[in-house]
Amino acid sequence: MKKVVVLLTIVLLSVNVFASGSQDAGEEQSVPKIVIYNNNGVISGAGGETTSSPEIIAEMRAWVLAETGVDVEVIAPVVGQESQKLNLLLASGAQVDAFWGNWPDFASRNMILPLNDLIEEYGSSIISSWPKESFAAMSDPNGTMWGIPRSTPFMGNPLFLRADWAEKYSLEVPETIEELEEYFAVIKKNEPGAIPLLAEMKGKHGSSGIFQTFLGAFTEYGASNWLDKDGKIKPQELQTGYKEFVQKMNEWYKAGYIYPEFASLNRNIVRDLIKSGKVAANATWYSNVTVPYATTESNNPGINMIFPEGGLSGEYGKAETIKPAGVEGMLISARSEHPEAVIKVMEFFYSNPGNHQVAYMGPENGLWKWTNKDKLQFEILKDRTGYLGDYAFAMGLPMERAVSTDSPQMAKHFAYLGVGTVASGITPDGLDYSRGKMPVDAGVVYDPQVIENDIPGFADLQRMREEEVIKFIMGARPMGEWDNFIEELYSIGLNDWINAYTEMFKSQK
Amino acid sequence: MSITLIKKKIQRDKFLYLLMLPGLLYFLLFRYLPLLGTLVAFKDVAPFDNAATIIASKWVGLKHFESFISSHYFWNIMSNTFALAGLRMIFEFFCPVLLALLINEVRNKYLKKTIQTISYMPFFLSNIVLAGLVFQLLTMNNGVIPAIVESLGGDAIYYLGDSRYFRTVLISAIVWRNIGWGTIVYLAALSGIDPQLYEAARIDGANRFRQTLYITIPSISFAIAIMFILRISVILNQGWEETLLLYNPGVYSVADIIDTYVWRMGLEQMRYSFATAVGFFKSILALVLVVASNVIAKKSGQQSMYK
Repeated sequence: MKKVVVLLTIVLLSVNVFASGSQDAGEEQSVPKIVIYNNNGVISGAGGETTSSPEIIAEMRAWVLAETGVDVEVIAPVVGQESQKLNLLLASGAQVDAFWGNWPDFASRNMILPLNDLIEEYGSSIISSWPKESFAAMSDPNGTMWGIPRSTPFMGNPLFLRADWAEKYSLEVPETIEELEEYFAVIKKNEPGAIPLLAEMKGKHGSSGIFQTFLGAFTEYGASNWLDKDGKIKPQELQTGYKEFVQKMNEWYKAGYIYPEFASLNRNIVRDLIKSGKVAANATWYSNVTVPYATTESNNPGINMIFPEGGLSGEYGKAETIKPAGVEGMLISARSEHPEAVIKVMEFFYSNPGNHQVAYMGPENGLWKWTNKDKLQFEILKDRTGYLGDYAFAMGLPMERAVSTDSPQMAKHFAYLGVGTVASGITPDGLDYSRGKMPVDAGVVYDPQVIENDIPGFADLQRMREEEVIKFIMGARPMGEWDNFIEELYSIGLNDWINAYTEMFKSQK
Repeated sequence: MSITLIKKKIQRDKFLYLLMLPGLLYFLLFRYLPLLGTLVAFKDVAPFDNAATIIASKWVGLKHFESFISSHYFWNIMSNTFALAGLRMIFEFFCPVLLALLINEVRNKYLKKTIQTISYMPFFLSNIVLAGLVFQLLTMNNGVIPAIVESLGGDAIYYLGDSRYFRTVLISAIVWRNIGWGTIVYLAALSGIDPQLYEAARIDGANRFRQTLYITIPSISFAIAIMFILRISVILNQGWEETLLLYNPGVYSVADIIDTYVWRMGLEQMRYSFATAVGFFKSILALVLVVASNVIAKKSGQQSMYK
């Protein structure tokens, strides 16, 4: 009996040791199964702190399978750690057929597939949906297309202000940096607990609001690399006026205008603050204001967040920097066994805005219903709970603008995007490029492999540029040391950076 | 010892060896086989390279190690790593000893149990929850600590974003969570001290402090020494999750340690070979620490982990 117990113990322990390493062999399947890591922002934007209902996910999965013949499993990201989870998944060898990312990072490491042939064969609607510049941004100089676009050039960092507070204190909605400072001072003095300015260093879709919202007012080229008179591309820190910009941010910080946690914000914190109604001015990604606006209004009756009509301006002109058509898009893993299935699924969503609508908001008559299906008009029935848009793979202006609604829940967001206005030809606020400055190197792709080989101190430069500017803004490093900071950048390889970036810029412009 | 004798002994104790087998397999599979992966540090490996590609790829020697050592922030990262490890050694190691001694002095057994139970509780919080609590306590949006500071007439600041306070916050959070659990070994050692020693000391006129100094502490010094060596062996590996969760670019100068650097280089920038080299470099440092502490323990006449 004793021996039996000992043997049983050994077997159980051995099973335990090996259990974690075992993998589901899976059954031979007749339909292709693909796994998509949906880090395109829709899930975290919709309420990434919760998850979709398993029943609705199962229903959506069955719908996609029935319509496309492809079994699609979706992996949801971790809010704030989207790219880290993706890299872990990719490194672990787990099946991930498609995901969203900056294509140069992955193409340079042979991690993704070129899509020209696949899209030509299966993706006619995908091609017709996006403008040429979006595809150009997703292609290398040889014309190889590495992903399905996620964005068009976009005004992603408008300065949303509380117009109701401006009116309360007999102020005009600020249109210049000086007027904005006056607004901050009045809010700071009269609204205890208010956050005069909520700005972020790193946000979704590469948003760095503190720069993209204001830098253009202080420098000629805004939040952008720029071409100096010597014909070389240089980083934004070397622009005339950048030091004055940092100086001004430091003054605002010291005066208590900038929310002190600006260097460590995440989307959930940002949205909670905005919904609380405490934020007098927002310099984070626009959707932090527009998406939860109905809740913000309901929490704060009478609130009115708007941005200056013609944009904010300063000594050097428009303050906001336009977000160019980026290199972020849906990419297909080089390990994918069914890349054609990914494109077929994407084509299904792009072929009919109604399909995207279901993918975005869940099964019809659940959270929403069609009011006029022919005109693609819908009504929102409930707040967004139970389904976060896990299957919304066709995110981006082309599909989002193709439907329309009069429901108040998303009115602010849809108005900014111009949802339902495609036919009218009216330029929506999100596409009104007259409000900002286009980056000098928009459309230029900087190859990470070249960067790694030609700029040995790149990681150090990245850290120093980020860390020291934060310190200057917070006053942890005195502004008197600015010139030393620039010298330090040169001492750790800024010349390598300038030469490598200039070469890549010139080879593409 | 002859082979026949060895076989005989194995035959005799076969079930004991079998019992040992799962543990050995665990260490072989999950602790020793992964060591083969360190060869990535000596090659240029891309994320999707398979084993065959990695083996066939060209050796790059110590390129990645040189790159790390010559990096501008090398000394900053090293000093942060050792500074945080040192602070943890001081506070996270000695605070439980102190607490155990204090708990040992509590005479009411119900109060003693209550204190023990309460002090254990934070240990069961995950790092994520711990970080969430710290954020909630320190946030400038109605955080408790800034509110207290302001109510006392001070100027509250965002302590997690200030390099002057970051380490204090980090170490305090870690100590708070681990202090209770860390007392278990010492309380067990304390329970084994012969009460007659105290009785004799009292007769000789020793007060409570002297009893602690001359009886209690020497009696548990063996446990302290062993725990010290065990802690040193893992000190460079512990605490990085808390740092990763709480730090931000504004405090890199006091918070960026080898592990957070490896995380950024490996998982954010996908520089696997470089990150592996940096991780391997840290492992060598940890090994040196273990050997050194063992030698010191032996030379000072205390227990050592191996001869």
